[in-house]
Amino acid sequence: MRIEDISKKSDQIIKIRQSDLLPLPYPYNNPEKDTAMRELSSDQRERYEASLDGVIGVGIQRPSSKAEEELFIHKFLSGLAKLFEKENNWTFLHPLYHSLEYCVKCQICNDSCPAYIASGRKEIYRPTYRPEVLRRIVDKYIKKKNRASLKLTGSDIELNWTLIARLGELAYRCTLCRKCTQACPLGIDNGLISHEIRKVFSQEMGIAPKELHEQGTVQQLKVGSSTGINPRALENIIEFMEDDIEEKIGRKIKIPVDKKGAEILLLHNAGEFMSWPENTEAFAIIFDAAGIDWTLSSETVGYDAVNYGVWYDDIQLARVATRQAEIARNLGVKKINVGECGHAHKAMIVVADRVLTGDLNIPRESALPILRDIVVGDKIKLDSSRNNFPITLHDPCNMVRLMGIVEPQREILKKICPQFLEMEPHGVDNYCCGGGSGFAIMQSMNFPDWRSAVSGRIKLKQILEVFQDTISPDVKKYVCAPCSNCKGQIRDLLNYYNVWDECGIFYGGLAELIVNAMIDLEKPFIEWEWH
Amino acid sequence: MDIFLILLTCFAYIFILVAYSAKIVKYARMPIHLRWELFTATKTEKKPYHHGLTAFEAQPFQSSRWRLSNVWSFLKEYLWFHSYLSHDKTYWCFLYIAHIGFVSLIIFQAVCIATALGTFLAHDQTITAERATGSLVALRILLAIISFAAGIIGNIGLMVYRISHRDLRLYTPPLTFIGYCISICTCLIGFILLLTNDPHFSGYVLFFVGMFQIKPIAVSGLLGLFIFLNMLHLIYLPFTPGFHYVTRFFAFFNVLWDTRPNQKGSPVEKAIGQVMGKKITWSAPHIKSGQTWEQAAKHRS
Repeated sequence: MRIEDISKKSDQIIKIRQSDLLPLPYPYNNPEKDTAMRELSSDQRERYEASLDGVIGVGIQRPSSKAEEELFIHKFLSGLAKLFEKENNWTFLHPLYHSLEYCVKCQICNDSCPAYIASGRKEIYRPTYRPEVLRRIVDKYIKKKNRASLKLTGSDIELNWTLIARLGELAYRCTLCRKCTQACPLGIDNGLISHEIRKVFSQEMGIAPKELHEQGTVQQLKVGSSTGINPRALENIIEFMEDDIEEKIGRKIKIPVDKKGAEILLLHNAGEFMSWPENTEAFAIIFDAAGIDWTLSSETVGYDAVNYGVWYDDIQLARVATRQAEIARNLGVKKINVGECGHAHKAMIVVADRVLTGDLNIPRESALPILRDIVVGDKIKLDSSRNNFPITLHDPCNMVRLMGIVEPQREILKKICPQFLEMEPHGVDNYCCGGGSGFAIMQSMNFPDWRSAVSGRIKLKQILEVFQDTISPDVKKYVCAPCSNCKGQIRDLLNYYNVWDECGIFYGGLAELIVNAMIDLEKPFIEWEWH
Repeated sequence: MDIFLILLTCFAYIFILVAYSAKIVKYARMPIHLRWELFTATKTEKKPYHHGLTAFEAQPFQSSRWRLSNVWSFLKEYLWFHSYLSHDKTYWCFLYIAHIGFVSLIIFQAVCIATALGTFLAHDQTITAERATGSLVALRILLAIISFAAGIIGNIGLMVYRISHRDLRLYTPPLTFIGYCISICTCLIGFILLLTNDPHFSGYVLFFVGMFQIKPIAVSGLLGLFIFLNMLHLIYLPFTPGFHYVTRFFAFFNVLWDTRPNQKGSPVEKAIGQVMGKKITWSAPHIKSGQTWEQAAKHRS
């Protein structure tokens, strides 16, 4: 296919065939064992834009009239122009400008993209494809270059509804892992281009995946959490957690809530409360045992670390971060610590650093160094033989490549897990789990299949490879993913391929492993029950 | 013809200077941005960092050790094209040779201009081709040989490589191929001049002397073509991503390695205060157009 084919009307630009996908190791080396992606129904295809790759992530509705179609194009162009204005996009103007203007298309970044490689190198997933399409639109419709200049710079492209809708979907085929950026010798950030396209759709056209916007940031700001947990529900959850802890460790722990002047306000991804309460319970057990002065907040937004704005909308990013900081300020805590959630780390600790000013600029850091100090500093008694099973570590992109928290988790695992194995590549060179940038929570139509079959495929390959020596289901193995979204993606990935039954590979967080190694626990904390 | 070449030369130098200065000013005046760094420079470091790029470990990231580590990573790319070498040795080979040719051609021109300027400033009215060769003649010839040979091999190699690899061909605009062709032609003609017409390139030096004296000195047809193509190449450059030599410095140091924390009373805080006061005109339903960033961030509905 050619680049300009994106604006040509057709049933589907590419088809994802099982035979094209990256081969997997044993026991998935037989293609017959591979799970086929669900096809969209004809009704879904009629209602939504699905002609990119036969997958629907955003769900862009087809226009019902010519006027609607023209308004769609007009809004896109109006938003695109705003991307290049200091007032509207000071947030990312510099890297955006550089990335669009100075890429030499050497394609050195191609091997970094998990979706591109796993798909069998489908053109539309190539890291340079989106930026090239956007550059052409900008040259022709924003800079309004003349005909000769467009020909010389290869910028001729026809802008129509089909192109824009496909581009909107395509912005959600990149996990923003920015491994391609790491590979680029010129500092071109192709991940950022996807981010900026998403912004045009959200900030100007009001289009974003509902899991990120309506049920994400909007719900979080209104109700308190993107999970829908309101302060009253949180109260019940905390009661449940206290009871559950008592049942598991044989003693009651009071989880501190809204404690004024505490040393730490701990922000968990609220998804943990719903799906993996054992993680938040583990934090409570460890902090209690180590005598940490901490608290949770019961204020709206204050008990959910997530900030989906970092993936698609700068305004929503600023709103969520500001609200979280206001809560910390009102509680009078010394600092905010973010639990096992990668994007919340990046959003709250780093990106929001240039949104929070004055008394809102409260010190913020990861909870991982605290866990590391507790474990390595022998502040609680641990027995590594309790974790004597093969364990590997997934490096969440946001925490590691994008933020530099590389060592604490490794120091912990080396101390408490005698069979710890590194997957390859790891650390700052890791591959994304395939659920980054909101994918892990996007459940639209056949999108979950795509992220298991395509964007997450390399991660599955890495996991299977690292456990090849003990691949039998008789040996229980553990993938440690200290990030809620990565954990969700790995759960879905292992489920999709039935890996728990086939290979005995389980998944979970880091704090659970620490509690599992605590010597005063009568029974193992990790229950090896698939959920 | 000689007047035309002088005017073209003056225009080309002024054009590239103005175009590149404008680009530098544009970059330098970019507003502060949200932090969007990558933690890759530490691949060359052994020290385990625990807190990541936060105020808790701000000191190491502001230290001369950290900066040196960044500078080293940068130099490896600048001088050795390290990433290309480890990714694709054939591409690296042609790319590196082409760049050696390009840089040598610039130095070659600088040496010719310096020699001419020296002659001009000496107020020597009896200038001859032999005398204009000057003491830098050996360097001039060496640079000419390196730049022409490397320019031909590198650019032909890159052109063939880009055409023969679909991944590259699909994304290479006609302007890039035109650039290769101009470079190859310039270097080929330069070589012919060197081998047949003017082995010391003294005619080229004399051309510049004439330019400084505003008394055009006649040049041969072949040298005229060489000058024309060379200047065309200079005019062509600002229309390409070739300025990445400079912009990547801003991309790495001001974006990807920009770890400056927002500390009370710091220039960063001041810059943030300014941009948060800017008005937004985004028009999605959840955004109230006309609010400042600060107001929008505190907006609850």
